[in-house]
Amino acid sequence: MESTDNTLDVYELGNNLGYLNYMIERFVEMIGEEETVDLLKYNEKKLSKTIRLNSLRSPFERTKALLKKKGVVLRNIEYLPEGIEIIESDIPIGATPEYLNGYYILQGKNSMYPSKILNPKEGEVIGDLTAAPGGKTTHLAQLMNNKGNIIALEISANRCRSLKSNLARMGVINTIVVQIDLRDVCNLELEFDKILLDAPCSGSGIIASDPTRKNSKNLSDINNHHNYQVELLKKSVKALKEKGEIVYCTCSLEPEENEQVISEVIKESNLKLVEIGKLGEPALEQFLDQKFHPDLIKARRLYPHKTSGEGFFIAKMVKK
Amino acid sequence: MIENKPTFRKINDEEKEIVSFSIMNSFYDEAFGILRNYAFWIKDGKIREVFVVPITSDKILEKLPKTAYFAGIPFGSLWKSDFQLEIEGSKLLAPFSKKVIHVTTDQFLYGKPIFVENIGEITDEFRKGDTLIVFGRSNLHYGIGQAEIDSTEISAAKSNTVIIKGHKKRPLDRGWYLREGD
Ligand SMILES: C[S@@+](CC[C@H](N)C(=O)[O-])C[C@H]1O[C@@H](n2cnc3c(N)ncnc32)[C@H](O)[C@@H]1O
Repeated sequence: MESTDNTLDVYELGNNLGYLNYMIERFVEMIGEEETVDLLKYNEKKLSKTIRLNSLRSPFERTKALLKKKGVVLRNIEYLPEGIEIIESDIPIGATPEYLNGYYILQGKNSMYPSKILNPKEGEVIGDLTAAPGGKTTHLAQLMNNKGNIIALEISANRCRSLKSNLARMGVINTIVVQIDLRDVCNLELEFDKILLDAPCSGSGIIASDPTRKNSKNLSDINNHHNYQVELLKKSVKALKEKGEIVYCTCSLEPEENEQVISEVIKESNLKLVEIGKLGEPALEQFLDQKFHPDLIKARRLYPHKTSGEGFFIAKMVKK
Repeated sequence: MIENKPTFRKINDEEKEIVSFSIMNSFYDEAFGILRNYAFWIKDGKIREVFVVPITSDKILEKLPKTAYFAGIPFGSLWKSDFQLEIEGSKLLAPFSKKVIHVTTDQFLYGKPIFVENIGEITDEFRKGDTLIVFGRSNLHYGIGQAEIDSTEISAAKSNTVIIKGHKKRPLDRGWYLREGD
């Protein structure tokens, strides 16, 4: 296919695939020309489906056996015992009686990491401050064995309905959903042991599943996201206990929505970045004329073409 | 802005009695044992939704009566003086159910009725009007319904006689989660 020909200049390739030029320039700045070609090619692939098994409803082995009995071919995901890749299936995987019983949820591989990195414990009070449709909320509940409390905030009434549906289906019992703008979280007079802020973002890490993102956003949209994310993170930190931990993540690859948000907020607040292991690669130290906080190398970037999953940025911080 | 209208409140005595009576009719006493770990809450609206909330969440929910949208397990709903147990309530209490029915079709999950021809074996005798917990293949929970005929009539009934009506618009079968859109 001409559009993915290796000999094509990366800008031509981007153009042929329908990207706005500024996006290619930025990818090249971030990861170089060669890798940008890999990223663009990856984004054209049909992604294999992944599911997260739900121990709150059924032991992993039982669910796997039931799906195999239906002819579904599964592959385990390394280091993610709850994650399964669907290699082949003749049945609609999102409509089986097992699915309706909450034995599993459709969830991208890389979006299983933020909840694990937050590492919620059974008796804690956890704030999932941008929660719908609840992929990560239901994962948090699973990691807590349904003990303790999750307060799941969501601003949109419509999305609250899908959150409710997922929580009920997945057998989550330790969660209270509050339909509210998280910028009002302090009015709830709650203090959280840990917070997950899976911020609304421009989505440039998930172009493989949403190709419209190739040309739907411009630089000023990204800056608007940046401003909003900074505001959301600052408000979230206010509701965090002393020594409490917060995970900030997005499915965007734009440094303005990631490194720059963290840099700006830690400058003015008592947050400290912490190590989260060797997932993906370290976050950027600088981008264009921006230099970020030196601790940002503790945050991680997951590029789609390198991790075979959605693009993600994940940072974990502790409140001093 | 946070609205001032309370939506979540503790169940009152009269409502509690209606719910308890309905449970008593269809479940063994042990059902009340498991329910001791939960508090009953009501979300007021066009219908009164009944939630059972782990007692460990009670203190927090008490702080959020005006803003909470959902809590714990959506157990059922109150319509005037009737209580309707719904999907997750029936799942929670299923082990203590007096009457269970096993079906060989997934049609119930699409809000469709269960016919005589869809029955695997009758393990429990039931009477018209009884609440039945519905299980499908591999012993998977499918939902809840009300018997339209007595089990003794089944052997003589036509294969297309309805045993449980389907309810497309009410959360009684697990297919509801797809119809609701998730
Ligand atoms: C990236 S999505 C969250 C996905 C979710 N964590 C999951 O794993 O399923 C961001 C969500 O934040 C919600 N949101 C945006 N602004 C918000 C605000 N100010 N307060 C609360 N929720 C907000 C959006 O409606 C959207 O549902």
